[in-house]
Amino acid sequence: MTARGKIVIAAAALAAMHFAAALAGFIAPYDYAEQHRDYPYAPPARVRFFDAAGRFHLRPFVYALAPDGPGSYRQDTARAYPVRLFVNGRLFGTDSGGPLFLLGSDGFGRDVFSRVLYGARASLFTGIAAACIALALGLLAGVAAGFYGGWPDRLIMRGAELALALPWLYLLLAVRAFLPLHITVAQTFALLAAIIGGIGWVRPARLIRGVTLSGREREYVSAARGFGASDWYLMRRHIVPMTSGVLITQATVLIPQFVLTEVTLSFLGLGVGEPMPSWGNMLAEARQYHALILHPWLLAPALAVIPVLLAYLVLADALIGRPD
Amino acid sequence: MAGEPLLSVRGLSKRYPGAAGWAMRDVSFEVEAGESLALCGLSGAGKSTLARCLAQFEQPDSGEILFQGRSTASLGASERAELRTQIQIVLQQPAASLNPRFTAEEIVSEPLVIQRRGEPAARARRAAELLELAGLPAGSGRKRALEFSGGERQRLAIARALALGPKLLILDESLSGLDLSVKAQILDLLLELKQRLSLAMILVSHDLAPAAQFADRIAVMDGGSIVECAAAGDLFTRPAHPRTRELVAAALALASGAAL
Repeated sequence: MTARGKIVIAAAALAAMHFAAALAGFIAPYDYAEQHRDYPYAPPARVRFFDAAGRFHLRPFVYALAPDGPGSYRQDTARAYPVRLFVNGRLFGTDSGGPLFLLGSDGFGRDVFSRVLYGARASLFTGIAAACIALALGLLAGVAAGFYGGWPDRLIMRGAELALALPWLYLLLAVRAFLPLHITVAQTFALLAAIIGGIGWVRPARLIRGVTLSGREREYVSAARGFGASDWYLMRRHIVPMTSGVLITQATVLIPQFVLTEVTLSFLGLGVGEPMPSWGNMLAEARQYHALILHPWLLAPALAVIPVLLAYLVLADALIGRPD
Repeated sequence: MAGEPLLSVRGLSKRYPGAAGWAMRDVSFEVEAGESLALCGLSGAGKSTLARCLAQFEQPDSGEILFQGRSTASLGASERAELRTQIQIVLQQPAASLNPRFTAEEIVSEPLVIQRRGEPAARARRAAELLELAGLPAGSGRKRALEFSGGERQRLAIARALALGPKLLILDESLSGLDLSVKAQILDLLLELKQRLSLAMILVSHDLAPAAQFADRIAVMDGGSIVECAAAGDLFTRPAHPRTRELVAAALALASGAAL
């Protein structure tokens, strides 16, 4: 497949995934916090077109779940719930209140599919926000270091080495320990994005410094200087546009890396807190061995990460491989 | 001041850090308003260093550059900025001196933007005038630099250099790398501009032939110094310095080869 084809497919897949995450409130059949206490650890629903008697139904349906021992269910074929579009202001659902757990439910009877969609918002958009912060810091630091050279360059590059050398995970634990126990969701987002972005600026800064170092020697930059251009003008009109290729490819490399970082931090309890889902804190529930064996659908967030990472990496690979 | 040369260079010397010899040593000459001077010599003779010092891209180690009677070293920041509008340089490689992301109109109007001259509409009109003056076809304004041929890029670079209405135009090896017919067209353009705009020009060239065709006087540089300076005709008929004789012989040999 050509690089262009890969870029189109990966970008379309990413657009669809982000679109779904952004519209979680509409696409998910339930709210992320809605509990169905009668159905803890319900298995993924089987959406059917054929009933128990073998008759075909044009409209898909699910059977009701009947408890069959603790954490165990059987399907009650006497009660069928048709799945309809646009139910209660959401894209789809069962109109008679029947349970529709496409990816099963967790220990509180919350729909895992809905929580994966809502959790995508936290994980994907924290990754994007953190990448924006890292790239903005990297752009500032890299352009300043490469353009001015001398002591600003040495200062910034030594700062970058220091940032690489710091044990960030322990630092993060310390920062979290200083903060109040309960912080708002918005504060958590901002904190996560700032911390991940604050760590991740070094690599883009180094690459952008390299582009700037060669860019400032270009003859058209010398020519503009000859017309009396200020440093700010040269950076704004000539140097920063040169870095656009690096910024785009770095974004495609950093976003999946930061999504994984968010998942890891939330898994460790340093990120988004319950009941707000994130792929990391959802996986935390699956870390107990018995949960993993008895309720493997709790691993759904881990499977959701894979296509996102793959799409970003294919996009990065195709962009880096392009001549321009 | 009446009778004062436009540019006066006195005892200019420069040595690059770590270099064994002088890049330019004790160079002195004058250029009158509207006059054209060619600086000729082999590679490494110091021509481009001199051109870059004149364009204020580099500072000499010693010596003085006087423009309209004022030493450039004594100028304040605003006067130096003004000086940069009066002396313009067309750099060696037109392709490298034009930002490939810019359109021709953006390239030509860039000096006006930097100097905050005129409104956007006025700048666009001035850019169109300059492109026409440089002999570029109508409608070139929207094309990007990479879409132009080598000769057209040189015209674009010349048009940009004229944007601020300079009094002195320095052409640093601007004819190198162009094929003969394009070189002749650019020379014609320069001669036309010189007449129309009464511009003083300094042409830096390793080749004496275009210099003789273009310049009122030719200064030959060797080892960082000017070894001979004479009217173009005299230099060809009575070359005094061995380096000049060498360059004249090379130019004549090339010309006879081209005639064959």
